[in-house]
Amino acid sequence: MGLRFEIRCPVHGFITHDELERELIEHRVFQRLRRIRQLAWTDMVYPGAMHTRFEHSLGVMHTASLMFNDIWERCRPLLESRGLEAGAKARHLAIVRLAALLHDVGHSPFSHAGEALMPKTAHGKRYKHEDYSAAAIRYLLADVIGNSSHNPMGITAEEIADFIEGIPRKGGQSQIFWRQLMTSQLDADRADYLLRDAHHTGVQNGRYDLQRLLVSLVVAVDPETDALVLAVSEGGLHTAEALIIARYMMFTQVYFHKTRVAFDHHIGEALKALLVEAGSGDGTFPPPTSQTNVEQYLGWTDWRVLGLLDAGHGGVHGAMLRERRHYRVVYETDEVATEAQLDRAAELATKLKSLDVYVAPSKKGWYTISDEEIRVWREAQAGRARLVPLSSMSAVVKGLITFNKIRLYVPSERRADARRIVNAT
Amino acid sequence: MSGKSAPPQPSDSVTAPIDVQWRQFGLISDLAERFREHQWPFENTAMQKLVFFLQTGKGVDCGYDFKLNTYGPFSASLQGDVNIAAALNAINLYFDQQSGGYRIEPGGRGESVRKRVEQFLDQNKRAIDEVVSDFGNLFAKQLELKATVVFVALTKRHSNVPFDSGDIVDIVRGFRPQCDVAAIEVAIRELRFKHYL
Repeated sequence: MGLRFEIRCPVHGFITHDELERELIEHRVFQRLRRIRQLAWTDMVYPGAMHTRFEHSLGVMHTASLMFNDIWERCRPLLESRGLEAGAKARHLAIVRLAALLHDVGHSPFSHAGEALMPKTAHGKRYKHEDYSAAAIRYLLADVIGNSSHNPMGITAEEIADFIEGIPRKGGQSQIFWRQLMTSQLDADRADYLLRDAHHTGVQNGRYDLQRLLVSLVVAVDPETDALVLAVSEGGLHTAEALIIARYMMFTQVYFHKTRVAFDHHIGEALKALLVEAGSGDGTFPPPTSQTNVEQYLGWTDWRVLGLLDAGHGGVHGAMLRERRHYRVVYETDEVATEAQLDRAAELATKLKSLDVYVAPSKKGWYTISDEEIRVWREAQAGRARLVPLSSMSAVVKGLITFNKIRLYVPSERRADARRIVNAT
Repeated sequence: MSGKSAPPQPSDSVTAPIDVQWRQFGLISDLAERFREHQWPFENTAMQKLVFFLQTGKGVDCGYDFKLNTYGPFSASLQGDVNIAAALNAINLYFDQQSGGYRIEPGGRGESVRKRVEQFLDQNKRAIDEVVSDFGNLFAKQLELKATVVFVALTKRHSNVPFDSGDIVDIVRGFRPQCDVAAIEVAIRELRFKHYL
């Protein structure tokens, strides 16, 4: 067994890592995450929200690892019977940890605020930060991973990138099953960011009982489709509820806070102006299709943007960021907009166009009710166990399912004019 | 830096003008309506897979990004739109204790929502008819297998890696070790015959 190292984390205590992980953590691609804030300009509302993707990524690796080990110990017979053999456990775990560690290396400056500036693919879809993460792993970290003397299992950059992107590989059952720890409604990503964001913002409602959740995770076979799925035991029902409620609270109070949404708009516009100044004709980042492009893209960090903004760049939105003079809400729908409210928002958006209205749709399901939702492994009265969607057992969760709020913002100087139009419409 | 800067002039902002997903809500409602008199209920899984086939096999611009997960191709955005369509009463979405899944039925405001995107639905009527005819009578397990086959083939095609039916069988079997090779081969043949591959 090789050397182990520890990093102290404000949420989880000590996070241990091995020598290969340490090589990656020390690499400039990962160190860049120290210069990407987790919640962009949320500190304008919650001043403590200054944490970065660096500590979150370590936290996701740690949490994914805890989940993996708990699931393996509790459900080993079922996993082995389905071909996820014990001999490969260490390899599966190593891939999960590396994918968790590296899943965010492709974030743009100010995290999600820059995603609207990612270019479109040949198929018309906009690239996402996961595409940049996968490209950074393939182009810039393949050497480190492939040539490391601390990689006895021969894990490749391609395997990690495919895991993150969800690209199917041969023998993919283990990939698709363990990938649920990265992208599902029970994943380590949200398990970490809820606790971390709650800690740094001080919004205590974002907390839930991670330890109870860990001992509630089980593996089950869906009787209808025969698929291997991640679920929670019936005893963990209320912990799963708490996780969903925590997410609801964080979305409504932090992620979709009206002022934070306005700052996301300003940084997006300012970044666009900076990209144009830097030679990008259409104000978008280079696509993640070559090593040169990925290097150029990763050159953009919060530090670089802040330096340019401080030097007076970034156009009118850059000025607004410097002066904390953000747009103001003049109309908003209910959290679940009605058809009539959507029509009214559209009408007002047209009437307010001359005032430079910004329409901010905050469509987001903090929990989607579906066959893909959190499943509860329930012992039926007849002794036959079955998988039941959480929302079918929890009235609380069922009541929280949809968020489709639209807000209209205008520059603060035009708020009075806009209000007159809104009141007259 | 002294003084305040001038407010911005009207411009194209990063975020598009108001963008309500009426097309998507209309399509969701249309599919629910088509199953009103169907011989068995329309389930949430079927919604995901039918829209996946419409987008990938018929080129209907639904705007969704599908990822492969334990139940085959799945789009979280589509699921979000299904939830919103239910909140708008364009569909009814409810849990069926007997089947253990979510069922979709036409909602009271469905007609009003479909009317908003009449042109889009008319333009794509033939494609929707064909997809419902080709896949509307399949069980969830069969839908998942066929959608997974298409997803794997498209991923291979997009990565410009040469592949054949054997590669698709190998990868799909990797996800579904219990799945019969013959069943996968039959699915590939049928999908090719109907031009989904």
